[in-house]
Amino acid sequence: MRGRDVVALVALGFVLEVLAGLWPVAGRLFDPLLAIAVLAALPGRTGTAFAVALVTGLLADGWSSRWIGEQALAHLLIAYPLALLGRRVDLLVPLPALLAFLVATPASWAIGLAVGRLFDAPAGAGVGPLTWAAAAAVNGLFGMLLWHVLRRRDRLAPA
Amino acid sequence: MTERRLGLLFAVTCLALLALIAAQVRRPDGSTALSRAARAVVAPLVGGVLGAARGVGGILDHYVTLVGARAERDRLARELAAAQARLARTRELELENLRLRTALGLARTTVFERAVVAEVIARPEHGPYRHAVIVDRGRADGVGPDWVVLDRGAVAGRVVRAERRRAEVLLLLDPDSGIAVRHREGRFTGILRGTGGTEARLARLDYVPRDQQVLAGDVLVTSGLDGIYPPGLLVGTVRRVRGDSPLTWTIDVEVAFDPASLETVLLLPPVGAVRGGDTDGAGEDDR
Repeated sequence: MRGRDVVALVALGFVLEVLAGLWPVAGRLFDPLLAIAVLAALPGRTGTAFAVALVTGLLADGWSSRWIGEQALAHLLIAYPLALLGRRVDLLVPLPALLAFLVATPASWAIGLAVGRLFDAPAGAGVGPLTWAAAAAVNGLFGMLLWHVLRRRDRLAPA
Repeated sequence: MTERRLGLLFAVTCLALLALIAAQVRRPDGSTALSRAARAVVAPLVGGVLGAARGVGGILDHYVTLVGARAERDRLARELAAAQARLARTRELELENLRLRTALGLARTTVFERAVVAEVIARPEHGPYRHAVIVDRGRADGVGPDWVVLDRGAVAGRVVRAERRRAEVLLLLDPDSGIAVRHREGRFTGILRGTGGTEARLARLDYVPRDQQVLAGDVLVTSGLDGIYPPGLLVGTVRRVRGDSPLTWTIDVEVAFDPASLETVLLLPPVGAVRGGDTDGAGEDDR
């Protein structure tokens, strides 16, 4: 994945994030910036994964997060280990990629809850497993869509 | 960038993000982690400064308190000494009061119950006594020889002769009079006799040992040793102390009663008569 591809994906993700925020339900479930961070980590390039995760996270924080740094931390904690894993395991094949996209959103929410618990902050509105599953499915589909597009254009290559 | 450096950067970035989040977390009291962290850093310094200040203040406070306590202790010691002196004096007075109460109690229960009020009706110009008066009570009233005569609480004399409706009273000022007295402070005793002179209200107490402390103004009371006068009755005060003899004092005493104004007097039975059960006590004449 080239640098321009990364920039374009990040820009696309930010635009979608803003647009999804206009509709509360979509804004709650859809997290395109996280999907792009995961997509950037799949090839196993830790540097790229680190940078993309930090940028997408900060963008998400600036748009909708309660604390600056919360989404950035979540994106980093997901993308960087995933990139490390991608150096050893081929995550560019469909199933591992799908698993990565499905797991990313619940992992991000879990990290958010953990951070809130860590700082003894008041908990937000509780969400049920169906919401978690729906969010995982939405972002998984979006991620796999991006993966498919890039794969077809041969823009995804392992490190 | 090597993988190791990138891993380190990852860790540092995560910590920095956590710190950034912590700085924004607002507690219910409105404080943020940043302000709390600042307080956590500054508080020990401020606490140390305040503690030192409090320590110095405490030392000064204790010093001032100690100085004040020392002055307070001295003052209390003085007050305690004075109080102890007053207590000793009070105990003496209490003992004296007990003695007087005992004496007066005896008088009240015996002598004063039989007291008779009489009026002075005459002052004999001629007779065996220089200082005597006639009262309007006699044997018919139970009055007899040696009955004690009081004038407003002070001893005036004693009955020397009783008739049916009158009695003759020998006053203390007469040279033939004698009354056993006691120095109220020194507790020594003696016989007070009238001088018979022209000087008003003067009697004399002879043969007082020189080792006795006697001052003008000291009070003499009846001792009760003569068996006539109840003890503790006021007799007079010391007017002058004279050293006519190398071994004894001669004391001029101003009697407490006023012979010039004798009108109504109180007659009491003699102590000896009461103690002996002689309730009548009347006789024709004993002197």
